[in-house]
Amino acid sequence: MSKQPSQTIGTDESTRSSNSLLSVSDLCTYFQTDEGVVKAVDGVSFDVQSGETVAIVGESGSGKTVTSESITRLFKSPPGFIPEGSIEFDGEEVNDMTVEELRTLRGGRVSHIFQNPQGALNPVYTIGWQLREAIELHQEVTKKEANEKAIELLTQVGIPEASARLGDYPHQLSGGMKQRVMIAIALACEPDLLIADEPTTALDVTIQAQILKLLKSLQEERDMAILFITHDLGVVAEVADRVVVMYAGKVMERGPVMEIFETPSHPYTRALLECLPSKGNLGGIPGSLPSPIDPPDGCRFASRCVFAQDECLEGPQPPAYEAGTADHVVSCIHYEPGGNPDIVLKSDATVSALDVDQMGVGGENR
Amino acid sequence: MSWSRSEPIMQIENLEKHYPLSGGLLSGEVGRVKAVDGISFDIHEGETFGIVGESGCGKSTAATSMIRLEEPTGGQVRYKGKDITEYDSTELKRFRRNVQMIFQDPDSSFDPRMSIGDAVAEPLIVQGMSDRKKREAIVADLLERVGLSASDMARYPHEFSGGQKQRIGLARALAVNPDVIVADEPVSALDVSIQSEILQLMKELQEAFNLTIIVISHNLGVIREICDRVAVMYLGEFVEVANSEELFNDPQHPYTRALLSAIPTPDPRERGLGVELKGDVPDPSAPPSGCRFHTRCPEVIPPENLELSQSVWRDVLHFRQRVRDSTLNLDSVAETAAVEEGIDTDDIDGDISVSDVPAETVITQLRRENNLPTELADSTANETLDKAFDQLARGDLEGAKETLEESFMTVCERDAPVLTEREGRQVSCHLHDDVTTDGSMLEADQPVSD
Amino acid sequence: MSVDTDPTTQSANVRKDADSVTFEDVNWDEIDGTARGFTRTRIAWYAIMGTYLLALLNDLFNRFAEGAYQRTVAFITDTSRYQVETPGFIPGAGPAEYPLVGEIGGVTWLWSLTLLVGVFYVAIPLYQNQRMTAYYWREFKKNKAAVISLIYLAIIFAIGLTVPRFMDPPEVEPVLAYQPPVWGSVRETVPIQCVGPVSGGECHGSWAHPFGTTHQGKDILISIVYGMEISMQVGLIGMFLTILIATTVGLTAAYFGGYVDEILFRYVDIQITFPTFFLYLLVVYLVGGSLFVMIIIFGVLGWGGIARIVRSEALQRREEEYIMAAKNAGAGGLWTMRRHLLPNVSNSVITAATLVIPGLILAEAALAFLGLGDPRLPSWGETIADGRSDLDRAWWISTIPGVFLFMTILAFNFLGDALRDALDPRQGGGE
Repeated sequence: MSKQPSQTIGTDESTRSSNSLLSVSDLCTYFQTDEGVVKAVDGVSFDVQSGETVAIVGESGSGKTVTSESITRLFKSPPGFIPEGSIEFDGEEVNDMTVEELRTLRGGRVSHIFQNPQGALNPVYTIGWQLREAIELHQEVTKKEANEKAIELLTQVGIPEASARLGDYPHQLSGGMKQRVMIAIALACEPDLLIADEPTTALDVTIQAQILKLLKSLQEERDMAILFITHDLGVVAEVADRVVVMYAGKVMERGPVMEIFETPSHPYTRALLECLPSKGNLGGIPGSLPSPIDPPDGCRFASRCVFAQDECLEGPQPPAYEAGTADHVVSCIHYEPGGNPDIVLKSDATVSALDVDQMGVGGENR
Repeated sequence: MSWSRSEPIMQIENLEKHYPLSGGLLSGEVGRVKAVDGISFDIHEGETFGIVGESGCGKSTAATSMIRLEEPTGGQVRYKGKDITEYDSTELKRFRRNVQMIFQDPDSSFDPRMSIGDAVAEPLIVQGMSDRKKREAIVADLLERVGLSASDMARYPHEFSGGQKQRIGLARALAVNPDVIVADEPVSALDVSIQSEILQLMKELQEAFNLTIIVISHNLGVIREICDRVAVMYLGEFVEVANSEELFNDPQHPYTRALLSAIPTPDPRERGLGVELKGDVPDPSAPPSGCRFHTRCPEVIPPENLELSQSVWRDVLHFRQRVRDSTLNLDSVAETAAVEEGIDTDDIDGDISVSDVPAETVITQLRRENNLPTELADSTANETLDKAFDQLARGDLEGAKETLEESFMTVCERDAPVLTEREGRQVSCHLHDDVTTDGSMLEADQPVSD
Repeated sequence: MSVDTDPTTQSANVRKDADSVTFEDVNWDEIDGTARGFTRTRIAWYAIMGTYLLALLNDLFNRFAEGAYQRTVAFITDTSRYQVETPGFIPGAGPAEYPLVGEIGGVTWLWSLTLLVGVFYVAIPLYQNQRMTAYYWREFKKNKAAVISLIYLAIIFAIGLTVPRFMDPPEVEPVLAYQPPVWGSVRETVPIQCVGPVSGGECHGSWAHPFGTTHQGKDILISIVYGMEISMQVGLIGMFLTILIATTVGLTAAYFGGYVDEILFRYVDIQITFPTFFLYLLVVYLVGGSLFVMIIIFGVLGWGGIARIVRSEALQRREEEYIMAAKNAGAGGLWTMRRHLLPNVSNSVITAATLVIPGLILAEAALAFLGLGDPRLPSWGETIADGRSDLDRAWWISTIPGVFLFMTILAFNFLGDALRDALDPRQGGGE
């Protein structure tokens, strides 16, 4: 009758991992620093099916970028390391791969595009050179074939007169054009999974719209999965099939895009949606991110949560409880079987309705 | 003081900021980047005025040149009735007490080697307050008012988060008790939840001190949140100025409409991102003739008698634009065509040119790259286009240029629209010309003689 | 008891004590009327610099003004060479005598200026900003080699600054030539008379001359101690002149740009091609070797490269928003250069400075070795040169000052590396 308790966030994926393209479970990525071990990602699980778009959304410091970099171990190591957790790509454990295998995976079946195309393109080489390099690294082709392939790719990402553009240097292109070139390079080896880390954040809305449309059409043509990292809920609503909401290295909520936006269930998700400028509720989320070195007990969001109870400050992060459907899980104590989710769902309480000053306007003080 | 309440606190008239482009052997001026090209507006006490536009539209330059952080190259700026462009350096220094700016990038707007206390006190020292105790008291009070603590004074910028630095930026701007604050992208570098905190703080401070605020942003959401009036800027000019409410509910200029529809809404049921603006903002050193937006406008007015759907007409125009600017590289089209069609090009010496590829293939490729269908609805247009394609396939770019130039001339390209006042709002677009009386349209249709 | 304890009091309107000031209370017209005040440190600085300048002018007047015309004529017409009277200074009617210190030579004038600037622009700011100093120290001490270097240099500096004040310079005593160092020995026949114990045909060192003596019988320890002062003077004064000119020129060019930039750096281009070494040779030929001339020539003509570094760095910094923010506060060029550009190019300046110092010390040693220095100054280079023909018999004469020279150069290099890492507040801590 009542909702079946699903297991912890760490293990509920095990039954599905066999047919997922990417399955991340209980991933932890830590960084050794002078001040201590920074737990940037601390037990994150989600999976990506082929051909779908999963968006990881969170604010800066949530660990979303480190999560995406962990998939092909792009983060700097040392100081970074993965103490536990598993990343399975198409049934293979990435954590067990050799350096050589990882290299083949990166830019092969898994490609990355980044926020800042200016920094990701080498200013001293032409874009043609960089495209051909990407092609030749992973495929046995002649120079002529590589050239033809480069032209083809540029045409596909909507750059006209591709062959003339091959001789251009990155500084000759606009921001939007550069991001298109980055996408072309990422597509060079026909990846099954494209990891896009804030690909439109540095761009104007009008160019962002162009790039989002491009990514969408490319995905349809190629049946490619996209893992989209962003802080912009508007972009999430635009592109995602499923959404992972991250906060302080943990997954707060995970589910299909419709449910996340229609019945946001975790207090953090709700607060985040309330903050959108179009909502007309100013004030932000009072309080500050917990320390990534020495995170507090209980739910990571508890100290800023309107619905927090004493139990929220004890033990580990609550497990992933079902909220509505099997695919929609929430790491919040109110969704525990026998709990009362209506406390959150039916409440009109929003952060902005709180006495902001009592919580301390300068709450992000460290 | 002759200045009265009903008068605007600041009046900006035909403000211009052109940057000379030097080059050539003798470093002479070879052109000018018209970053701000004649904008005018009034702003009243206690009002929040927003300027919105894409990057490169000149909005930041407008902000810095209207308060003479950069010297404007033309126009007037009056503060309480006095023209600040005529101020000497002493008057200008004194003027800084009245108008302050907050900056976009919280990371680079603070000297990493100066403590926060010193940074906030800097305007006080520079303006001549030599009493150290007094300064410290003011800074401590200011830091507390923006939500930090007085003990933060000794700390350095890198010890604060972006949101905190923006609070400190507000404190620094308030230090000399200004009347007007110009905020250049005050929240664009921050997380959404922090953005709304800062916007809230700005609103509170505005009420507490009766501040007049000018906000520059590319984010329409932010503008909508705090602005009373909004100007939409494109390539150095205002294309629409209206009350915030009206602008968002009923945008009049096609550019405003396009900007609004490009914002992703946080609602997965409303996907699609509306009208797509093709291409990038044109080079401001050579802005397009007529209406500067006509090269990207989704609603360009077609010549009379032309019966084409708006989207096809837009594509035709875009194609014509590329032919005219010679950004269309025929050999490249040919080479791309060869690759796409799988034509064997091994036996061609050197680079492939148009003549090496069959005309039909080139035309197919041209149509594909420019989104042009094989058959246009309008027969005259179809003929013209076919003729141009033939010329292009023969490598005759000049001929094609002429062919296209004659037949697809539009009023938007020929005449620059004027920012005209209508029902309390200003729009600069030919779409609104015909609504006024007959005269203007007739005039607009006459060919321009040099 | 007081209303202030009400917990709901908002941060935005905390009640103020009666005498505290807030920004709305400030009457700017009143402030415009008042004169600028100075901090105590600043007043002290102006007072000391004023005294210094007056004393220097007095000295210069004494030396040159009386009979300057005749001497200039004599210099041009008379073929007889100048005789060097006071160490390191071109002679005049006679130097001024000052209470306590007596007569002051050119090098000493520069040396005291360098030390004063060091106290007011390095030591006092470090003391006043203890938080920042503690932070720098935390970062700095991560580099163990640099900490050791710093201690070593501090000792060299302290000894060099104090000991020569009350110890006589090494004297020529041919009878005591070739004494071995205290831990060594040499064949009995080498020294004329062995001061230490003699056993088995070997002359052993003694504590009378712990580092031994040269072929002239000069005590090497005393020479080393004097050499410390000379090396520090050459390195630090030269560095001070170089950095002073280089940062002034570099910052001015970067801040103002345009013609100012063009003129200053076309001059730098010319200066860099100028053969400084030959200029020094010429001066040596005219007036003989002189430490003062050496320091002036290398300090005043060797700053071109560093000025270029400063300029390019400052050009980057000028584009940062905080420069605009300073302008927005009403600040002028001098303020912006001093308060913003200078501290932010200090990384490059300090790195360059720590490379200039060993360069100058080495140059001095090299010139002294070649016999182009002031022969009466017991600099390390001079002492090394003294022992070059006796390497087979008396290895210690060249080796011991050589080791000091080597360690000093190495220590400055370590120090430079560590300072560059430590002085950047953007790395570590913040992220």
